[in-house]
Parts: sequence; C-alpha cells; structure tokens
Amino acid sequence: MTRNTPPSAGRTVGARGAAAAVPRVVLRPSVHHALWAYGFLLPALVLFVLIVAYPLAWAAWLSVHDWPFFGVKRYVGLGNYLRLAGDPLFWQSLRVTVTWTAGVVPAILVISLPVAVFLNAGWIRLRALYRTVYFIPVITNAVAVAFVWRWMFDPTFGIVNWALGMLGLGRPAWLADPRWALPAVMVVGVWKQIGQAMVLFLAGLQTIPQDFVDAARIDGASPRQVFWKITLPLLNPTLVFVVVILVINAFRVFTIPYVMSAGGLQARTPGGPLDSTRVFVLHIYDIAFQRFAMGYGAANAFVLMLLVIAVTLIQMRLIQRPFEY
Amino acid sequence: MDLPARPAVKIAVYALLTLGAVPMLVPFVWMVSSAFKPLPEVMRIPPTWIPAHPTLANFVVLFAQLPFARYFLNSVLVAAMVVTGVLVVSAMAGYAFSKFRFPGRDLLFVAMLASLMVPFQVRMIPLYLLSIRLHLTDTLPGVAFPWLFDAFGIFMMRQFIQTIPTDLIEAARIDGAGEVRIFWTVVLPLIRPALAALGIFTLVGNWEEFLWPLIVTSSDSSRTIPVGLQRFSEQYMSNIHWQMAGATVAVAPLIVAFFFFQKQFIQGIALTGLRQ
Amino acid sequence: MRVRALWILCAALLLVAPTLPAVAQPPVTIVHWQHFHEGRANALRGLVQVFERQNPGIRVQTDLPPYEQYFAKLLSSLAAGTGPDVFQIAMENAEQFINAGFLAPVPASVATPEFIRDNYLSWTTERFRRGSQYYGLPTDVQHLVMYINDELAREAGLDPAKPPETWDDLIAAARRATKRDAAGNIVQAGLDTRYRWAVYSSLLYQYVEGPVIDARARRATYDSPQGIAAWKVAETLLRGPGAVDSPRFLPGQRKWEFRRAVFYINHPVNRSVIAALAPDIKYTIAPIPRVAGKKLVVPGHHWAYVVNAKSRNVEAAWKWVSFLTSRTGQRTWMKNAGDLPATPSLLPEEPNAVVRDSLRFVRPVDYVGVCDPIRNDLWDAIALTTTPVEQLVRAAAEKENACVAEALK
Repeated sequence: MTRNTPPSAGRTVGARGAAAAVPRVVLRPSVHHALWAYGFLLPALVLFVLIVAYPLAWAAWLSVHDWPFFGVKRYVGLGNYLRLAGDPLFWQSLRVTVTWTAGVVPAILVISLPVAVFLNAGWIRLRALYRTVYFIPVITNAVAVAFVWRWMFDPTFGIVNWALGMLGLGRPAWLADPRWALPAVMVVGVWKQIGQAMVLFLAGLQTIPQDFVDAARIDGASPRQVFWKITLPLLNPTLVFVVVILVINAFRVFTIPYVMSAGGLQARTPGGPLDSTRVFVLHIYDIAFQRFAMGYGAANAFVLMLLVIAVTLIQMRLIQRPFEY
Repeated sequence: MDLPARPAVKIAVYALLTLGAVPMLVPFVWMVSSAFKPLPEVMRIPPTWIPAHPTLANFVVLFAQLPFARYFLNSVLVAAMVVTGVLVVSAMAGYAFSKFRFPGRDLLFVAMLASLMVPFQVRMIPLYLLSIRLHLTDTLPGVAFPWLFDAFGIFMMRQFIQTIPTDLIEAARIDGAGEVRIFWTVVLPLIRPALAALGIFTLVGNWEEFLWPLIVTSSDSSRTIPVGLQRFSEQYMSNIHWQMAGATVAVAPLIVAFFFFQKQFIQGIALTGLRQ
Repeated sequence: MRVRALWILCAALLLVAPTLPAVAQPPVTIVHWQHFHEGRANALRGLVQVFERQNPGIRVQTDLPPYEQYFAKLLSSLAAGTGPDVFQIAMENAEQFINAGFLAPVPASVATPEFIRDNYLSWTTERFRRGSQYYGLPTDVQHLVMYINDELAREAGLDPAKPPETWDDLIAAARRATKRDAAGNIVQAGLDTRYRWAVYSSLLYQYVEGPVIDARARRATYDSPQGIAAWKVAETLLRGPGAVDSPRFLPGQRKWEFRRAVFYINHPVNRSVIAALAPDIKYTIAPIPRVAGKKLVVPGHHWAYVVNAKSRNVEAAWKWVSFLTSRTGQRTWMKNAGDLPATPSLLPEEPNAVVRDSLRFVRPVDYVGVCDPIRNDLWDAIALTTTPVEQLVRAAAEKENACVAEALK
C-alpha cells in the first residue's frame, strides 16, 4: 500500500498552532508521518510495557527464584519446575482442570450448536425471547449465580435434589462429596457459557450464503445432508474459534469453583472438599496469595501459559489463518 | 441454512428450546423468589415459587449490613475507567496500525497480539508486586489498571479502521485538518458500532472480574460488587435469604442494561468472544 | 443516541472518581482488623462508638474479613506496608508475627509487665512475651462448652438436665438423636460437627497427655497412640451407619442454629450467634464430654490485639487497644459477645456456672502457625473417604510438621 503523503508545504501551521511548527519545518514528510503514528501508539505502548511485557519478564525471573515473600530471594534455577513435577497438588489441579475442560467444552458445544441452528430457522417465532433466555447467564455476575447454585445443590434442602428425587433418581451430596463436587461445579460452568457459544454460532450461521443451501436443496439434498455437507464445513472456522475460546476459558476458570467451594468454616483456600475442585488457577492463587510462595507460584503460572499457547498454536494450524478470527 | 418447516420439526424444535430454557431460568426465578422469603421458607422442600410470606426484610438487612451502594459505585467507577481506557487506547493504536506506515509496525503489532496468549494469571503475581510499589493496592485505579491494555481491542479496532477508505483521511488532510482532528472527526464516528461492541464486551468482562480485586483490595473503599458479595456470603454463610437478596441486587443492573442495549450486547459478544 | 449518553456518563464518572476517596477525615484514623464473627461484630461496633466519643480526635475504621480470608489478607497487606494499625491474631500466630517483626511492643505507658502479670490469666499473655517485653494484649478467652437443644433432646428421649458426661455417653445420646430419611441420609444430626476445630481439639487435648504440637521439636504428636485414639473417636462420630453427623448434611451451614442438630461443641461466644440467628431455641449449656476414667480437660484458646510495628499512629493505636482490653472493654465483650474475659477479677459477673467453671479445667492449646486447615482436611477425609484413619492421621501429621517448621523459621 503506497500512501500519498500530502506535501508538507501545503500544510500550514493553521489550526495546529505555533507549537507544531517547530518539528514540522525540519522533518521529512515520512518521518513526520511516522512520528504521528508513534504518537497514536504511545498510550498502548506504555501500557503494553507496564502491564504486559515487564510483568511477564518479572514472572519469568520470579519463576527461577525461591521467594517466600517474608524471606530472602534465592536463585534456584529450574528448582521450582522440578518441585512442581513432584507436587501432588500440582497434578491434582491439573487433573481437575483437564476434567473440567473435557467435560464443559463438549457439553457447551452439544447444547449451544443445536440451539443456534434452531434459532436460525427462518420460521422460528419468539427468536429474541429464546435468545435472551439462553444468553442471560452470560451477563450475570458469576459470584452471585455461583452462590445461588451452591444452595440449589444443597443435598437435603436444594431444589436440584428435590427435582432428582421427584424423578426417582439418586440424590448425591454434590458439593459436599469429593466425587460429585466437580460435576456440580461443571454444570454451572456449562450453564454460564452456553449463551456465549450460541451467539457466536448464530453469527457464524448467518455468514453462510443462503445460495449454497438453496442450490443443494434444488439438487435434491436432504436437510440432514445439507447440515453435514454444507453448513458444518462452512461453520468450521467458527467452530474452531469457539472451541479455542472455550478451552482457554476452561484453563483459566476460577470464580465459579472458588465461590461454590468457599465458606463453611473450612479455614482453607476454597477448592475442596479434599481438593476435588481445585482448578489450576485456584492452585496458583493458593500458592501465591495464601502461602506466599511467589517464585513457585510464578513457575506454576508459566505451566498454565504453556498450555494456553499450545492450544492457540493448534488452533492456528487448524484454520491456517493466524489472527483472522 | 434452514430447518424444514414441517409441523413435526416445528413441534420438536419448540419443545426442545422450551425444555432447555427451564434450567436456564430456574436459578433466577429461585433467586428472586428466595430474596423475598424469610429463612425457614427458603429451606422448605418442596420449594414455594411464589413466597408465602413475602418480605422486604432481606433487602433492608442487605443494605444495612453491607455498604452495597459503595461497592456498586466502585464497580461503576472501575468499569468506567477500564471501558474508557480500553476504547481510547485501542482506537488510537488501531488507527496507527491500520493507516500509518512506520518502522517496526509489524513487529510491534505481532508482539502485542502475541500477548493474547499470555494468560492474566501469569502476570498476576508481578502485577500485584507492581501495585505495591506504585502504591496502588486497595485503590480503584489499582483495581482497574491491569485491564487498560487490551490486545484484542487493538486488533479489533485495526480491523475496523482498515475498512475506512484511506481517501477519506487523505481528503481531510488536504483540507488542512490536523491528525488529531482527523482521528476525532473522521475515524471515530465511522467506527462507532465497533466501539460500542468493544465497550460493552469490556464492561461485561470487567463487571464480573473477581480474582484480581480479590487480591488487590483490602477495604470497602475499593471493593467491587463481586468481592463484596463473596465476602458477605462467607460472613453470613447461613443467612441464605440475605445472600439471595444480595445476588438479586448484583445481577439486576446488567440485566436491565441488557434489555436496553440488547443489540449491542449480542454484537459485542459475537464480535469479540475472547473474554479476559 | 444512547451510546453517546453512555460516553458522557463515563466521562463524568471519571472526573468524579479521583475526588471520592478524599472525604474529610479527622486528624487520626486507626484502621482496625479482626476476623468477622456475628456476635463480636456488634460488640465491636458499640465499643468503637464509646471510644470515639471519649476521644474526639481519633476515628476507628474497622474491617472484618471472613475467617477464611483473614490471614492471607493480613499477611499480604502487612508485607505490602499497607496493613492495619491494630489487628487481632490468635495465640498460635504469636511466634510467627513477633519473629517477622510485624508487632510493636506494648509500651509501659499502656501496661507495665507487672500490670500484665497481675491483671490477665497468665496463659493469655505468655506466648506474646519475649523476655520482659509483651507484644499483644488479650481481651476474652475461647474455651469450649457443649450446647444442647432442649426440645430436640427431649424429643429423642434425652434429659437435657442430665447431659452426657463422657465421649461414650455422648456418642450413645447423639446416636439416639440422629434422624435419617428412608435412603439413610441424615436429616437431623446428633452432634453438629460443622465447627470441626472444637470437636477435634476437645478430643486431642483430652486424649493426648503430652504436647499435641511439640514446638521445641517442631512436630505434631497426634499420630501417637493416644492421638490415634482421639481421631478414632472422630471416626466413630463420622463413619458408618452409626455416624451422628456428616459434612454431606447441610454442608457449611449452622445445623444446630437451624434446629437440625441436638448437641454442639462451641465457644461460649456462640451464645450471641444463637441470639442473633435463632433467638427462640431453648438450650442448656453443659461441660464438654471427658474421656472415661479421666478428669475433664477443656482446650483454651485466645486472641490478642496487637499494633502494627509500621503504624504511623502507634500512640493512638495503643490507646484504642488499651481501651479494648480494659475492664470496660472486657465487660462489653463478655456481656455482648459471650466469651469470658481474660481478666479473672471479672469472672464472677458471668451468670452461667458451667461456662464459669469450665474455665478452671482449661489447658491452653499449643497449635503453632496457620495450620488448622490441615486438621480440618483430616476431619473431612475421615468423614468422606474410607482410607484407614491411621494412614490419614500420619499423612496429616507430616504436613503439620512442615507447617510448624515454616511458622517457627
């Protein structure tokens, strides 16, 4: 792209005032242009360095130090990473996070994609109403809904077990039971995110040209064939994008497990009972802000970053168009 | 893509959509109904959906026990700082990246975009140490500052500003408009829908941010709604009826806002999707 | 356009934001932290009012984080240099905080060592002493008693006037009082074990004759035969068809105050919680059960008010602490919160004989550091898994050893 920079002679001091005149006289147009670019970029650059680049470098530096916050920093090389490999809590939280991801992401897809397809039907009525109903959990405060769900999951007085009892099903102790606590928390994770995936799918569906579908129908394809052979392949970029977002969100989940497992005089960092809902970010939070092992916490956080980068790179391979969402 | 309009399909689709809507709504119905009940009724099984003994006492207690107005104000102020900051910074940077040529442009852009892959939790520990050094702990700017840079916002603004014809900008330059003026009067008005989407998306994410305020706040002067609410629920774990009143008050503002700005909300999520 | 209105609102709020925190403040503001407790919060509010009236130049700003977040918040804010001027720490945190240099010594103008010796129960100041220097002052003490819901006890055929005396008696009585639904789930607990600490401390300090935590050797001894015997009682309370409570029943909630439990071990301060949450429950206070064939031993615990070594208003801070720990302050705590004062001369003012007498059997707990979560998790593991108790106790004791060593470093 070539750009016709206006001749600087043509730009009189005019509205800019005398102050601007000083550099303008000596600068070539392209330099002048670049300076303006950096001017527009300046806030972003400053903030980028202050809250992204510098903290990231600091975190890398911390991760090779042992720093108990109230003690002395000590260089330990890869010691923190070795310690992590032998830490049962690290493996437990990794297991919880992987379980969360493997359960929550497919469940959201399986629910939100059909809902989006239904709402995309030309004949559907009350589309806005249905869309609102499925979307509202997305914009509600996670803390607030988490403690609504916490009481709904009460084994004796909660309406979940009341409903299960009416259906003649078993009544697990949910959040009080190490086997059922994570599934209960995952239900809320799914419930909260269905609407987001649905909206993204709806947007994706609307980009599929109706001509394609019409042509296929004229050629005698059944609706099912249209869905599997045309809609789904054309929806693939959206699908990959949604999966990546959901997976990254799953790796970073914190609020819902924290709130749903908090309280009850446990006098411990949430994530119980018996660490059954200790997701990875809760693990990092516990180490860094409850036990104050800043260096070890940073090492754990780097593992999280590697996981996120791995997912993002796989996504780029899948859609072959980096940065084009 | 369209579903066949056969009656059987229609009935099945409506049935599934309605069935699915029940669990989506039940928590809200139950929350609002319990907020108006005395405690023994909240614990009643089978539940009463319409309170048998409706009361406003829970809300009275809520506002008496909890500086909720202050939390609300804090949340609004933090959201205002973050939304304004993100929009200004992203629009300016997006403009620079899309309509200017300068050395280092592509490198800087890729570097900023790559930061999308760095989860906040990696920076969280240094950011906390940084806020101690800058004396930002337990202040509203301290709650807001980690979110002022948003690589996704910059990317989004760049994509949108690229669609603005360069001729329009050149014409303004030839007319003698200064760079700031061009940005303000030519570029910004044209990307207003994108700004609204980004703003709402940022607002929704920020409104429920919990982890960072949990770490950085230590008094009511800076606690936001999520942190204040969680604290309240840990203090009064057994007062479930009060907690439901708190949840209702916390959830209400964005739902109300949603009904006013429904289109922008949906667009915001559809255009952006990547949540902090 | 609506979007423009939003913009204007944002801008207006931004302009207002910086001016907000700067509300006019009196010359000296003391920031006071202690963990939240429903009964104590009200008592504290009253004390603040009285103190501010007496000292117009000083304002006390309180913040009461939930217990779960308390130490993390306290430690991180102390490290950040933004900690409160006055705060409360438990006896088991004394060594850690004194060693870290967080605490300002008690100035002689507030209390001389002689005064402290004469005025307070010795075990409520001992751990805050270094040589002749003290680093904190106690208000009340937390020993343990047993609450009995009269109505529910009678319903189960028990006489609240004849409370169970030994653990065996309690187990038998609690079993009679436990109710289950058709599927075998508890719907009324014989003994409310939500406050795990109170139950296992009652067991440990009665079963284990030597130290429970040996600070000198920096290790937990509750994996000894006596310790295991104590935890085995917990197993009887929690496991199998004869269990008298379960974490699965009303998880995290106050079962006794909800009238869903009959017996309850807690501090006398819980009287104020009952008054707030369930004022119409008729109850009896009994001593905690003892080990058959042994004398009663009651675990005793206390908190202390301390002043931040980095406080800019040390003088005003001590003034506030000396008010809190004065006879007036202690009397307020006793009357409004419910625990006994650390000043023995006020004891006769406690109307309940059991609460008063239990104090004579106190053995101060010897826990060190913030290690309660390890024992609480052990309690949950006993209740929620089928792993042999010995194995769970040994693993927990090992964790506690590390925790103690960390605290005394």
